[in-house]
Amino acid sequence: MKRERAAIAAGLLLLAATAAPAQDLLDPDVAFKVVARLVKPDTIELKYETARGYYLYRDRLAYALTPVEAQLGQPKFPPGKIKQDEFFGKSVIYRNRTIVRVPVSAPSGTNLTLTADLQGCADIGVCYPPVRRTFSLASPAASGTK
Amino acid sequence: MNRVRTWAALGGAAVLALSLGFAANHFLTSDEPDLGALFGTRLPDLNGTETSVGHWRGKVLVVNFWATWCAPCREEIPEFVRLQSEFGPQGVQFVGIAVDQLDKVSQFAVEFKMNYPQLVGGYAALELARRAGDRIQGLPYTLVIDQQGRLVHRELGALEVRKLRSIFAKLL
Repeated sequence: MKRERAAIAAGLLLLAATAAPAQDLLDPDVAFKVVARLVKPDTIELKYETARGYYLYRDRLAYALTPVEAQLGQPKFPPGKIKQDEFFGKSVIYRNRTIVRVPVSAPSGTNLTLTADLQGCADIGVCYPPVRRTFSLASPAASGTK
Repeated sequence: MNRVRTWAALGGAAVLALSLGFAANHFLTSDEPDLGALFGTRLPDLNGTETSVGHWRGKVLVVNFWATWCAPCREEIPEFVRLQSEFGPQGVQFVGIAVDQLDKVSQFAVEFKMNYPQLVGGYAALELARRAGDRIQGLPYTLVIDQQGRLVHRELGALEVRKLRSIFAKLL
Protein backbone atom coordinates (compact mmCIF):
# COMPACT_ATOMS: atom_id res chain seq x y z
CA MET A 1 0.00 0.00 0.00
CA LYS A 2 2.88 2.29 0.80
CA ARG A 3 4.26 1.76 -2.67
CA GLU A 4 0.89 2.49 -4.22
CA ARG A 5 0.75 5.74 -2.33
CA ALA A 6 4.29 6.52 -3.38
CA ALA A 7 3.38 5.80 -7.00
CA ILE A 8 0.34 8.05 -6.82
CA ALA A 9 2.43 10.75 -5.13
CA ALA A 10 5.03 10.42 -7.89
CA GLY A 11 2.30 10.74 -10.51
CA LEU A 12 0.92 13.82 -8.83
CA LEU A 13 4.39 15.31 -8.63
CA LEU A 14 4.84 14.71 -12.34
CA LEU A 15 1.54 16.44 -12.93
CA ALA A 16 2.54 19.37 -10.80
CA ALA A 17 5.74 19.66 -12.80
CA THR A 18 3.79 19.98 -16.04
CA ALA A 19 1.50 22.68 -14.66
CA ALA A 20 2.38 26.26 -15.55
CA PRO A 21 0.28 28.53 -13.34
CA ALA A 22 1.12 31.80 -15.08
CA GLN A 23 0.17 30.26 -18.42
CA ASP A 24 -3.22 29.41 -17.00
CA LEU A 25 -4.17 33.00 -16.36
CA LEU A 26 -7.67 34.00 -17.33
CA ASP A 27 -8.47 35.84 -20.50
CA PRO A 28 -9.03 39.51 -19.67
CA ASP A 29 -12.71 39.21 -20.66
CA VAL A 30 -13.14 36.55 -18.00
CA ALA A 31 -10.90 38.12 -15.35
CA PHE A 32 -12.56 41.53 -15.63
CA LYS A 33 -16.26 41.44 -16.40
CA VAL A 34 -18.22 44.65 -16.73
CA VAL A 35 -21.87 45.38 -17.29
CA ALA A 36 -23.25 48.87 -17.80
CA ARG A 37 -26.85 49.95 -17.63
CA LEU A 38 -28.95 53.01 -17.10
CA VAL A 39 -30.41 52.57 -13.65
CA LYS A 40 -32.11 55.96 -13.75
CA PRO A 41 -32.57 58.41 -16.59
CA ASP A 42 -29.63 60.37 -15.19
CA THR A 43 -27.39 57.58 -13.88
CA ILE A 44 -25.29 54.90 -15.53
CA GLU A 45 -24.23 52.05 -13.29
CA LEU A 46 -21.19 49.94 -14.07
CA LYS A 47 -20.85 46.65 -12.31
CA TYR A 48 -17.36 45.18 -12.33
CA GLU A 49 -16.93 41.51 -11.47
CA THR A 50 -13.25 40.87 -10.95
CA ALA A 51 -12.17 37.24 -10.63
CA ARG A 52 -10.54 36.07 -7.40
CA GLY A 53 -6.83 36.82 -7.48
CA TYR A 54 -7.23 39.77 -9.85
CA TYR A 55 -7.67 43.49 -9.29
CA LEU A 56 -8.40 46.71 -11.13
CA TYR A 57 -6.73 50.09 -10.71
CA ARG A 58 -9.20 52.86 -9.95
CA ASP A 59 -7.12 55.43 -11.77
CA ARG A 60 -7.26 53.39 -14.97
CA LEU A 61 -11.06 53.35 -15.04
CA ALA A 62 -12.23 55.92 -17.57
CA TYR A 63 -15.48 56.59 -19.36
CA ALA A 64 -16.61 58.37 -22.49
CA LEU A 65 -20.03 58.80 -24.04
CA THR A 66 -21.38 59.53 -27.50
CA PRO A 67 -23.16 61.34 -29.06
CA VAL A 68 -21.70 64.71 -28.15
CA GLU A 69 -25.04 66.03 -26.85
CA ALA A 70 -24.79 63.48 -24.06
CA GLN A 71 -22.53 64.30 -21.14
CA LEU A 72 -21.04 62.36 -18.29
CA GLY A 73 -20.55 63.76 -14.80
CA GLN A 74 -17.87 62.79 -12.29
CA PRO A 75 -17.91 59.03 -11.62
CA LYS A 76 -18.75 58.07 -8.03
CA PHE A 77 -16.09 55.54 -7.11
CA PRO A 78 -16.37 53.37 -4.01
CA PRO A 79 -13.46 53.58 -1.52
CA GLY A 80 -11.59 50.43 -2.67
CA LYS A 81 -8.39 49.18 -1.09
CA ILE A 82 -5.00 50.82 -0.98
CA LYS A 83 -2.18 48.99 -2.72
CA GLN A 84 1.31 50.11 -1.83
CA ASP A 85 3.74 49.79 -4.69
CA GLU A 86 7.46 50.42 -4.51
CA PHE A 87 7.36 52.56 -7.64
CA PHE A 88 3.80 53.79 -8.03
CA GLY A 89 3.30 54.67 -4.37
CA LYS A 90 -0.28 54.23 -3.17
CA SER A 91 -2.95 53.17 -5.64
CA VAL A 92 -6.60 52.43 -5.06
CA ILE A 93 -7.57 49.00 -6.32
CA TYR A 94 -10.82 47.11 -6.62
CA ARG A 95 -11.45 43.42 -6.18
CA ASN A 96 -14.55 41.23 -6.51
CA ARG A 97 -17.72 43.18 -7.22
CA THR A 98 -17.42 46.93 -7.62
CA ILE A 99 -20.17 49.34 -8.53
CA VAL A 100 -19.43 52.72 -10.06
CA ARG A 101 -22.19 55.19 -10.79
CA VAL A 102 -21.74 57.89 -13.36
CA PRO A 103 -24.18 60.81 -13.74
CA VAL A 104 -25.36 61.32 -17.29
CA SER A 105 -27.34 64.03 -19.00
CA ALA A 106 -28.68 63.36 -22.44
CA PRO A 107 -31.63 64.51 -24.51
CA SER A 108 -34.55 62.15 -24.03
CA GLY A 109 -34.67 59.33 -26.54
CA THR A 110 -30.97 59.43 -27.38
CA ASN A 111 -29.21 56.16 -27.98
CA LEU A 112 -26.02 56.26 -26.01
CA THR A 113 -22.73 54.51 -26.57
CA LEU A 114 -20.56 54.27 -23.51
CA THR A 115 -16.91 53.25 -23.57
CA ALA A 116 -15.37 52.05 -20.33
CA ASP A 117 -11.59 51.67 -20.13
CA LEU A 118 -10.01 49.47 -17.52
CA GLN A 119 -6.67 48.00 -16.60
CA GLY A 120 -5.85 45.41 -14.02
CA CYS A 121 -3.43 42.76 -12.89
CA ALA A 122 -3.32 39.28 -11.40
CA ASP A 123 -1.87 38.84 -7.92
CA ILE A 124 0.56 36.31 -9.38
CA GLY A 125 2.44 39.33 -10.80
CA VAL A 126 1.10 39.71 -14.31
CA CYS A 127 -0.58 42.86 -15.61
CA TYR A 128 -3.02 43.08 -18.47
CA PRO A 129 -2.89 45.88 -20.99
CA PRO A 130 -5.64 48.51 -20.86
CA VAL A 131 -8.82 47.44 -22.58
CA ARG A 132 -11.90 49.31 -23.73
CA ARG A 133 -15.39 47.88 -23.40
CA THR A 134 -18.27 49.38 -25.35
CA PHE A 135 -21.92 49.41 -24.32
CA SER A 136 -25.04 50.49 -26.19
CA LEU A 137 -27.49 51.95 -23.74
CA ALA A 138 -31.11 52.47 -24.52
CA SER A 139 -32.52 55.98 -24.38
CA PRO A 140 -32.56 57.54 -20.91
CA ALA A 141 -36.31 56.98 -20.78
CA ALA A 142 -35.82 53.22 -20.52
CA SER A 143 -33.27 51.00 -18.90
CA GLY A 144 -30.98 48.91 -21.04
CA THR A 145 -27.86 46.83 -21.10
CA LYS A 146 -25.23 45.88 -23.63
CA MET B 1 -0.18 -9.87 -5.53
CA ASN B 2 1.10 -6.81 -3.76
CA ARG B 3 3.75 -6.35 -6.40
CA VAL B 4 1.15 -6.58 -9.16
CA ARG B 5 -0.93 -3.94 -7.45
CA THR B 6 2.08 -1.70 -7.01
CA TRP B 7 2.99 -1.98 -10.69
CA ALA B 8 -0.62 -1.40 -11.68
CA ALA B 9 -0.73 1.71 -9.51
CA LEU B 10 2.59 2.92 -10.89
CA GLY B 11 1.47 2.27 -14.45
CA GLY B 12 -1.85 3.97 -13.86
CA ALA B 13 -0.23 7.02 -12.33
CA ALA B 14 2.28 7.19 -15.18
CA VAL B 15 -0.42 6.94 -17.87
CA LEU B 16 -2.52 9.56 -16.10
CA ALA B 17 0.44 11.88 -15.67
CA LEU B 18 1.56 11.40 -19.25
CA SER B 19 -1.86 11.95 -20.77
CA LEU B 20 -2.49 15.03 -18.66
CA GLY B 21 1.04 16.17 -19.38
CA PHE B 22 0.37 15.82 -23.10
CA ALA B 23 -2.90 17.70 -22.69
CA ALA B 24 -1.16 20.48 -20.78
CA ASN B 25 1.64 20.51 -23.30
CA HIS B 26 -0.82 20.68 -26.16
CA PHE B 27 -2.51 23.60 -24.42
CA LEU B 28 0.82 25.36 -24.00
CA THR B 29 2.13 24.64 -27.47
CA SER B 30 -1.00 26.08 -28.97
CA ASP B 31 0.75 29.36 -28.02
CA GLU B 32 3.94 28.14 -29.70
CA PRO B 33 6.20 31.18 -29.93
CA ASP B 34 6.86 32.43 -33.44
CA LEU B 35 10.53 33.32 -33.06
CA GLY B 36 10.71 34.31 -36.73
CA ALA B 37 8.28 37.15 -36.00
CA LEU B 38 10.26 38.11 -32.92
CA PHE B 39 13.57 38.17 -34.79
CA GLY B 40 12.15 39.89 -37.84
CA THR B 41 9.87 42.64 -36.50
CA ARG B 42 11.56 46.03 -36.66
CA LEU B 43 10.77 48.55 -33.95
CA PRO B 44 12.30 51.93 -33.12
CA ASP B 45 14.87 52.07 -30.34
CA LEU B 46 15.18 55.05 -27.98
CA ASN B 47 16.99 57.01 -30.72
CA GLY B 48 14.31 56.22 -33.28
CA THR B 49 16.49 53.76 -35.21
CA GLU B 50 14.52 50.76 -36.36
CA THR B 51 16.02 47.49 -35.17
CA SER B 52 14.81 43.96 -34.60
CA VAL B 53 15.71 41.41 -31.96
CA GLY B 54 17.43 39.47 -34.78
CA HIS B 55 20.18 42.10 -34.67
CA TRP B 56 21.55 40.41 -31.53
CA ARG B 57 21.16 36.83 -32.78
CA GLY B 58 24.08 34.62 -31.78
CA LYS B 59 24.10 35.84 -28.20
CA VAL B 60 22.15 34.42 -25.31
CA LEU B 61 19.11 36.66 -25.60
CA VAL B 62 16.74 37.66 -22.84
CA VAL B 63 13.82 39.39 -24.53
CA ASN B 64 11.56 41.13 -22.04
CA PHE B 65 8.14 42.55 -22.93
CA TRP B 66 7.31 45.22 -20.37
CA ALA B 67 5.69 48.60 -19.75
CA THR B 68 6.11 51.47 -17.33
CA TRP B 69 2.45 51.09 -16.30
CA CYS B 70 3.09 47.49 -15.18
CA ALA B 71 4.30 47.34 -11.57
CA PRO B 72 5.69 43.77 -11.68
CA CYS B 73 7.61 44.70 -14.84
CA ARG B 74 9.23 47.65 -13.13
CA GLU B 75 10.17 45.56 -10.13
CA GLU B 76 12.34 43.11 -12.05
CA ILE B 77 14.17 45.61 -14.23
CA PRO B 78 16.87 46.59 -11.67
CA GLU B 79 17.80 42.88 -11.56
CA PHE B 80 17.99 42.74 -15.34
CA VAL B 81 20.29 45.78 -15.29
CA ARG B 82 22.58 44.03 -12.80
CA LEU B 83 22.58 40.77 -14.77
CA GLN B 84 23.34 42.60 -18.03
CA SER B 85 26.42 44.13 -16.37
CA GLU B 86 27.51 40.81 -14.95
CA PHE B 87 26.84 38.52 -17.92
CA GLY B 88 27.08 40.94 -20.86
CA PRO B 89 30.85 40.33 -21.28
CA GLN B 90 30.11 36.58 -21.47
CA GLY B 91 27.66 36.99 -24.32
CA VAL B 92 24.29 37.67 -22.71
CA GLN B 93 22.15 40.38 -24.25
CA PHE B 94 18.96 41.64 -22.64
CA VAL B 95 16.55 43.40 -25.01
CA GLY B 96 13.46 45.21 -23.76
CA ILE B 97 10.34 45.50 -25.89
CA ALA B 98 8.28 48.27 -24.36
CA VAL B 99 4.52 48.22 -24.76
CA ASP B 100 4.59 51.90 -24.08
CA GLN B 101 5.26 55.43 -25.31
CA LEU B 102 8.74 56.62 -26.22
CA ASP B 103 8.84 59.53 -23.73
CA LYS B 104 7.83 57.34 -20.82
CA VAL B 105 10.34 54.63 -21.72
CA SER B 106 13.13 57.19 -22.22
CA GLN B 107 12.51 58.74 -18.83
CA PHE B 108 12.35 55.35 -17.16
CA ALA B 109 15.53 54.18 -18.92
CA VAL B 110 17.45 57.14 -17.50
CA GLU B 111 15.95 56.81 -14.04
CA PHE B 112 16.73 53.08 -13.82
CA LYS B 113 20.07 53.34 -15.63
CA MET B 114 18.98 50.76 -18.17
CA ASN B 115 22.11 49.38 -19.81
CA TYR B 116 20.47 47.29 -22.52
CA PRO B 117 18.55 48.26 -25.66
CA GLN B 118 14.87 49.10 -25.69
CA LEU B 119 12.60 48.65 -28.67
CA VAL B 120 9.48 50.78 -28.29
CA GLY B 121 6.37 49.34 -29.84
CA GLY B 122 3.44 50.97 -28.05
CA TYR B 123 0.31 48.86 -27.69
CA ALA B 124 1.00 47.45 -31.17
CA ALA B 125 3.84 45.47 -29.56
CA LEU B 126 1.18 43.40 -27.79
CA GLU B 127 0.52 41.63 -31.08
CA LEU B 128 4.21 40.73 -31.26
CA ALA B 129 4.01 39.48 -27.66
CA ARG B 130 1.05 37.30 -28.64
CA ARG B 131 2.93 35.89 -31.64
CA ALA B 132 5.89 35.30 -29.32
CA GLY B 133 3.64 33.02 -27.26
CA ASP B 134 1.99 35.39 -24.78
CA ARG B 135 -1.60 34.26 -25.33
CA ILE B 136 -3.24 36.71 -22.93
CA GLN B 137 -0.78 39.52 -23.73
CA GLY B 138 0.03 39.83 -20.04
CA LEU B 139 3.19 41.54 -18.84
CA PRO B 140 5.98 41.03 -18.00
CA TYR B 141 6.68 38.30 -20.54
CA THR B 142 10.23 37.12 -21.08
CA LEU B 143 11.87 34.71 -23.50
CA VAL B 144 15.37 33.30 -23.21
CA ILE B 145 16.90 32.29 -26.54
CA ASP B 146 20.21 30.46 -26.96
CA GLN B 147 23.13 31.24 -29.29
CA GLN B 148 21.56 29.08 -32.01
CA GLY B 149 18.33 31.01 -31.91
CA ARG B 150 16.38 28.32 -30.05
CA LEU B 151 13.91 29.10 -27.31
CA VAL B 152 15.13 27.75 -24.00
CA HIS B 153 12.70 29.35 -21.59
CA ARG B 154 9.73 31.65 -21.45
CA GLU B 155 8.04 33.17 -18.48
CA LEU B 156 4.82 35.06 -18.02
CA GLY B 157 5.27 37.10 -14.84
CA ALA B 158 8.50 37.87 -13.05
CA LEU B 159 11.48 35.75 -14.05
CA GLU B 160 13.44 34.83 -10.94
CA VAL B 161 17.10 35.78 -10.92
CA ARG B 162 17.94 32.31 -9.62
CA LYS B 163 16.27 30.74 -12.64
CA LEU B 164 18.04 33.09 -15.06
CA ARG B 165 21.42 32.41 -13.49
CA SER B 166 20.86 28.68 -13.78
CA ILE B 167 19.92 29.05 -17.48
CA PHE B 168 23.01 31.20 -18.11
CA ALA B 169 25.19 28.63 -16.34
CA LYS B 170 23.99 25.96 -18.79
CA LEU B 171 24.34 28.11 -21.90
CA LEU B 172 27.61 29.96 -21.34
